[in-house]
Parts: sequence; structure tokens; C-alpha cells
Amino acid sequence: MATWNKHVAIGEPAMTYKGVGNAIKAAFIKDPNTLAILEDMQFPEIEWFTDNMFERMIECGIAEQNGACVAAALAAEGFVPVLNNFLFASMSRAYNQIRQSILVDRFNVKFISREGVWGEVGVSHATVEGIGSLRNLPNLVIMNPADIVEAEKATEAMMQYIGPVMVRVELSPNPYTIFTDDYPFDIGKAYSLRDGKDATIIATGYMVTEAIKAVDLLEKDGLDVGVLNVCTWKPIDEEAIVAAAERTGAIVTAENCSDINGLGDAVACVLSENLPTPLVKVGVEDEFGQSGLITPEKDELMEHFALSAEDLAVSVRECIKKKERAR
Amino acid sequence: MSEKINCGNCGMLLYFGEEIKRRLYMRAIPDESAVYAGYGNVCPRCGNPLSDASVKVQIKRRATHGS
Repeated sequence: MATWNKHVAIGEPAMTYKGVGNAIKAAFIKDPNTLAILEDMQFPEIEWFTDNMFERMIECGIAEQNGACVAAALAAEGFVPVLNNFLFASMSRAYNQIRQSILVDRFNVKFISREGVWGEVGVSHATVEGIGSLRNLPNLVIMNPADIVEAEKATEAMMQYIGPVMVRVELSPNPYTIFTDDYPFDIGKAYSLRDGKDATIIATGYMVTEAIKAVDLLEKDGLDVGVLNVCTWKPIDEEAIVAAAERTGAIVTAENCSDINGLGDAVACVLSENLPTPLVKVGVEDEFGQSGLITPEKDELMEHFALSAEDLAVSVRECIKKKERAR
Repeated sequence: MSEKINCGNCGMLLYFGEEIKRRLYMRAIPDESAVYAGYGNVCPRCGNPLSDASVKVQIKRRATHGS
């Protein structure tokens, strides 16, 4: 079995949304100016909020543009609105309001946005392109946590930071619990789970779990593969990405979303400007999300989009071949 | 062009976004001291007093004819 760096203790799968909920609850208890903005969908720890914070919940209905404007107005008055939504709805319906009303003035609005490829939610809600579509907007910090511990720490950090932040919570199978409670999370810092010698998988969100599985598969082939967890997409940790490329000379990126304008493209930009390195991107390849059947025996969507550990292992071997050809 | 401000003591990210003094008109944040003031002039994580001397500012921009 592979060895891992300090602060990594791989355990049972757990829901990242629960980690977000724990941190949001704590923030609401601490700061009376914090308000929940709902758009006709769940809010983390909704039962607790309904029982204890009902007067601090504002339901805007299926009207994301309205929700974004309400959040902007409240932030302008000194409140800290936490907007919970589907990322597809933010990105497509409320893009203009997020840009004009929140980001241009850099209002202190927090987004908890759900997106990913999992389950039977349909093509409308199983989106994969939202996070990439928002990546080019200035003033927005974007994070995509890998497990329940990182989700809680990222949400805590989001609430402590003054300015607009989005935490993407994935629609995906529950990831492994990866980090120890004393994991030193920082916005903008990537964390190396293991360093490796032959290649590095730079993964985000749920795909860190698949990367961990892929490391074990590749170890059986005698390959020593590192894993770099990139939770913060923006600002991205250029130093850690370049260091991984220097160390292993082969990079595979892994994300549970479109590989166009996603993490893979961000990493490719960093490397092409600083240290051109053989790279293979693993993500959803220019197609829409969709419904799929998930049973204990089979995950139709992971298979369809080729995002499993076995698929990642194939890409790592391909990338190592690219590295050898380039020598 | 983006600007990043981290606490010089613990490294906490305090600001990320457009270069603060870059916008010609209608700056939401007039200068770095407004960022520090938002946090009560103290890093919320480590208690470090915030000033130009106690933070790390990184401005990212490409070289141009005028720079």
C-alpha cells in the first residue's frame, strides 16, 4: 500500500455537504449578520436552520437572478449573505447579476454551489461546465474541497475571508475521508498527499479519492505516483504545481467537471508559462452531464465519463510514455 | 492583473482580486488600508496587526512597454 504525507489518514466515505453544514452553522452562531439566501432548494443543515435561524433565512424561489441581487443588496448594508444554489443556475441564469451586482463591487457574498456528474438528476441539473464558466470572473475566490474535513475547513476559511467566495460542493459519490482534523488548510494553497517520482496526479474535489485509488493500482506496476490536491482553483497555487512538475516531469489532472476551462486548463497554463511538461487532462470531454444509474455494483456515469481510478491509471501510463518520448 | 494580499505572519489570504489601484474610476476598495480596516486592522487568524509592512502583497502582471 502507498504511503502518504502527514495530515492524510484515509478513512470511510463521508458527505462533503455535511462538512459545509458544520462550518456554516458555526458561522451563523458566531456572527448575527450572517443570512441564508435560498433558491428553492436545500441548505446545509436545513432542519437545524429551520428550527434555530428561521428569521435569518430568505427564500428567493426559483429566481436566481433575484437571489443574487438580494445578496448583493444585503452585503452592501453590511450583512454576510450565504447563497446556496445549483452552480448551473448561478452560471447561466444569474451570471450577469453575479458579475455586475456582486463581483464588480467585490461584495462579501458567499456561494455554496452544487455541481457534478452523479445520479438521476437529469441533464438540466447534472452540469459540468459551471465552475469553468465562472473562473474568468475577477474578484471571485473558487474552491472545490476533496472531503468532509476539507469542506469544513474551506467553508470556515470562506466565512473568515472578506470578499466573494464560492465553495463548489460536488454531486458525486461520497469521497473518502482523506485529511486529519489538524490538516493545515489555507485558501490558495495546494496540498501534496504524496510526492511520487514517476508522475503526479493533480486532482480536485471527488477526483482526489479516485486518484488515491489509482496510486495503489499503479504501485502494482512499480510506478511511484504523487497526488497534489488543488482545492483552491482561484487563486491557484502556481508554486506547488511547478514543484510537482519539477519533481516528476509528468502531470495528469483529474476533475469531476468539464475539462474545458477547468482545472486541467488552469494547470496547463501555469506549466506552459513556467515549465512546459507532458500533461494529460482527465475530466468530462466536451459533453453535457446526464442522468445515470448508480448501484453498489456499478456506477454508470463514472464509466460513461471515464473518471474511475482505472481510467486515471491509463492516463498516468500514457503521460509517462509522453515524458519518455520527450527525453 | 490580479493582486493577492497574505498576512505576513501566518499567510492567511486577506485579499484576492483586481489590482487595487488599477481601476481608473469607481474603485470599490480605494487602497490596501481599506482591506486591513475590513478585518479591524488585525489578522483574524493570528492577531498580527495589519499594515503595509506586515503583509505580503503580490501583483501579477505581464511586462509591458510602460512597465
